[in-house]
Amino acid sequence: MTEAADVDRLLAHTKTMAGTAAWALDGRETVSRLAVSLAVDGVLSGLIFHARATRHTDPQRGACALILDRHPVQRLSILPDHEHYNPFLKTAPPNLRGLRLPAGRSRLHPWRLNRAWPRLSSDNLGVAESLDPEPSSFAAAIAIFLGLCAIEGDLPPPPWEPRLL
Amino acid sequence: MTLLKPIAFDVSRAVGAAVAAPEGVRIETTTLLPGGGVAAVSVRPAGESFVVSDDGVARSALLTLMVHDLAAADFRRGREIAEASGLTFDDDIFSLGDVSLAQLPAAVAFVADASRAWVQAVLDRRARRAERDLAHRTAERLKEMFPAAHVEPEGELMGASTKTHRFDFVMTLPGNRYAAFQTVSPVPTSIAATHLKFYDLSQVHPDWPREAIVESYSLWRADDLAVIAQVSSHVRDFAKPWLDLASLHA
Repeated sequence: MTEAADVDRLLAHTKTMAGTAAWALDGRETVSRLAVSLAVDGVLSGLIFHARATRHTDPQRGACALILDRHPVQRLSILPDHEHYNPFLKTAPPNLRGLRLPAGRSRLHPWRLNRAWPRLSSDNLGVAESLDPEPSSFAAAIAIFLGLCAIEGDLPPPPWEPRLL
Repeated sequence: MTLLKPIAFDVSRAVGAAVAAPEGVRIETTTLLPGGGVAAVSVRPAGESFVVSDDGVARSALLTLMVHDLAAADFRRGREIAEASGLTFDDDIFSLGDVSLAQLPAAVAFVADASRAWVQAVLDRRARRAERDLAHRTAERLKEMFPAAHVEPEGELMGASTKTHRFDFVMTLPGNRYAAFQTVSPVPTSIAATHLKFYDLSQVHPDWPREAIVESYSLWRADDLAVIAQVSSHVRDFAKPWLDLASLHA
């Protein structure tokens, strides 16, 4: 059974992308998604990188996450359109408890602040912190997250066709 | 697609009022409790910080919904909900102390949401318990009416989709036929599950009896009953005698 210490090791270990990553538009063609299986020492074992990006909004918004056995390990919300309140968990640093994170600023829900495994299905990485400085682009934000997850390789940028309406 | 201008619910005005009132304020949030009321949260100054509490609004909402007898499991669930957000749950009250001014909006949101989550959890648990109780009484009635019949609890029958469905009771009938009995409560999950099972079974064995058992017609909305009636041979009110059922096993 996987425990938090195992996730610590997995997170620190260099991971490589398996197969050719490509963004795919959803049924309504307003959001594109990407999923890549990640290999550790050349073996695929339930680790997946997920990302989604809006197609028409300006700025482009979305999120990416590292998933293990269908549960999130850590997540980055890129220019989210809604604010977020951190819970008042005693395990969170005092300066982050009850913190309001505004809309329009990218925020990271890191493993070190949400370190619990096995993860309950109701635990959606409640504790977040602002990503500072704000990444210069959507692609830059994803590159930062790949680095935080020790994932090697590059991804193509998601399709983006901003519209006024 | 039209892009809408985002307008956030402005809790800062309420927070400002809380700071200005030495005795505290009561904030009506936008969180809706099951039953229709809103989750109101009190904010009281305590020295340099604040205490945020629902003042037992969740328990009051449950009393309004005629839920008087809470079980130990309900209080345990309340504590779990509180712990998941770092709140406390004592004497049926969700609260948080030592809240700074900057933390007030988050505290108000989490306390209100804990109230909502607990009321919903208690109601869900009662619905599940009521279904189990109805199933138990249905078993006794079937045994009384058909002492010689083979009635299998949690019996499984395959539908037209080739999916195997589990019914509360499956009675073996003469001629390699079966009757499926399913207790249903007037909540969407129960209605949807029963509709799926009965519909799928009817598509492959339209002549097999599909008996839906409800506690009382009076507890149901007419349109919900109609949904179940469309896929059932009968929707039986437990409070009434099932005289015609005797012919089932003849």
